[in-house]
Order: sequence, then C-alpha cells, then structure tokens
Amino acid sequence: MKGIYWKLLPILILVYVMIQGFLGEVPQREILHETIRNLYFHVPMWFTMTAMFTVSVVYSIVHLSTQNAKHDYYAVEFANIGILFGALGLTTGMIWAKFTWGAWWSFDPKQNGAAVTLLIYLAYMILRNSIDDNKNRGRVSAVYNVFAFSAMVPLIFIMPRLVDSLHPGAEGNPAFSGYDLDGNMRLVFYPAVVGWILLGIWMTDLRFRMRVIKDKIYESRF
Amino acid sequence: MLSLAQYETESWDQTFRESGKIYVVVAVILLILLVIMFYLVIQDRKLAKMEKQLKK
Repeated sequence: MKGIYWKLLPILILVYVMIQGFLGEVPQREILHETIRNLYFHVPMWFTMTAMFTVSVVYSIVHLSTQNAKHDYYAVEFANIGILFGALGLTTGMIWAKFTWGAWWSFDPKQNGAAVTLLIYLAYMILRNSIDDNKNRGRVSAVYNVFAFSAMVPLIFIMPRLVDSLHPGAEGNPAFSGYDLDGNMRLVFYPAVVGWILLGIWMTDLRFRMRVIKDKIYESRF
Repeated sequence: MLSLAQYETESWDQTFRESGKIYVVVAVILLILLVIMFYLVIQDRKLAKMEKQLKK
C-alpha cells in the first residue's frame, strides 16, 4: 500500500455521497420519510465492518502458516477498524430505531446479533493484550479471530433472517428489495459502500504503519 | 439588519436559503468531512516522514 494518491478516491467518493445523499431524490415512504437517507450512512457502516473483519480473518489464517508478525499486525488493525465501524453501525441504528420503531433498543434479533458480535471482537482485543509473549500472542489471537469470524456469520447473517424482525430484510437480503432501494438510491448507496471501505483500509494502513514504527523504535533500544 | 435588497443582490446567499435551507446542512457536513480527511492526510505524511527517518 504505497503512495498517497489512491487515498484521494475515498475523499472524492464520500464528498459525492454527502452532497447527493442530502440533495438527491428519495422515495416517499410512511414512517421513514426523510430518514430513508440514513440508508446511505447507516448501512455502509455494516458493509465496511464486514469487509474489515473478513480481511482480518484472512490475515490471521495467513499468519498461522507464515508466523510473520506483519500479517498479525494487519489482522489486529483490520479488526480494530472493523470494531469502530461496527460500533458506529450499532449506534446510528439505535438513533434510527428510536424514530421509526419507537425505542432505542427493542431487543430485535438483528440488534442483539450485532451487539454480541461486537462483544466477541472486543474480547479478541482483550485476549491479545493480556498475552506478553510476542510469538504466542500472534498465534493465540489468530486462532481466536477465526472463532470470532465464524461466530459473526451466523449471528449477523443467518440467525436474524430465521426469525421475525422489525429490521427490513428478514425475508432475504436486508434493505435490498426494490421497495427499500430504488434505482436512484443505488447510485448513492453503492459508491457510499466503496468509499467507506476504502476509508477503512486507509485508517488500517495508518495504524499498521504506526505499529511497525513502534516496533523498530523498541528494537533499537535493546 | 440586512435589507431585502441586499439579499437579492447576493445570489449565492439566495441559493442557500432554498429548499428549507438544506444546503446549509450540506455545507456544514462537507466542511466536517473535508477537515477530517485533511487531518488524515497530514497524519499519513507525518508517518511517512518517520518511516524515512527510521530507514536511515
């Protein structure tokens, strides 16, 4: 990930999303009204979280076979940024729920699944930071990351679809039917997903490089 | 206080008052977004500098 120029892409895309997200035409729906625009902001948070966790678990698996510390660092930092976007998805969802479902938290299967997933990933960070030995830390946390990812898939993608939910998409993909997302909205929604994911990669890149620098300073001291 | 005539002469000002002043919100959000992005770029360049120094 060399060079700074690809980083212009998320900036340009997100500027477009912010302008078109507020000024573009949206379908008029009962209950939702203008909050339908939240789809451009709330849903991409979850897409980004999923993308970050997926890349993270791939790096963890690679780390298990290579034992290379850099792969371990990528795994942690992608998970860290994934947690950040997941927390944003959960809180923005709560605000939206308050004004459409009537309560901040209604113990909806999708809310519960998302909350438990975030707790599992927070435990990943706690586990990691509680191991002093460098070699074991990488290996143990990589194994745990595989477990965390395998828990996330049913908690977010399978179980909420098997039961009734207030959240759209219990019958299939969340918020992807023609009713929830018309052609006009797709032109903002898809770029938003790409823009936030690229921003997530950029943030991970910064944190990864900080870790490498820290390591080098530490090594030069001893 | 500004007179009505003054509003009519400044067209950009007029534009911002249309559609329930939603353009004001867009301007505020764009400012926040661009400042955060600018901040990220600065951090990125600082890190690049540190990386160069460490290589020496």
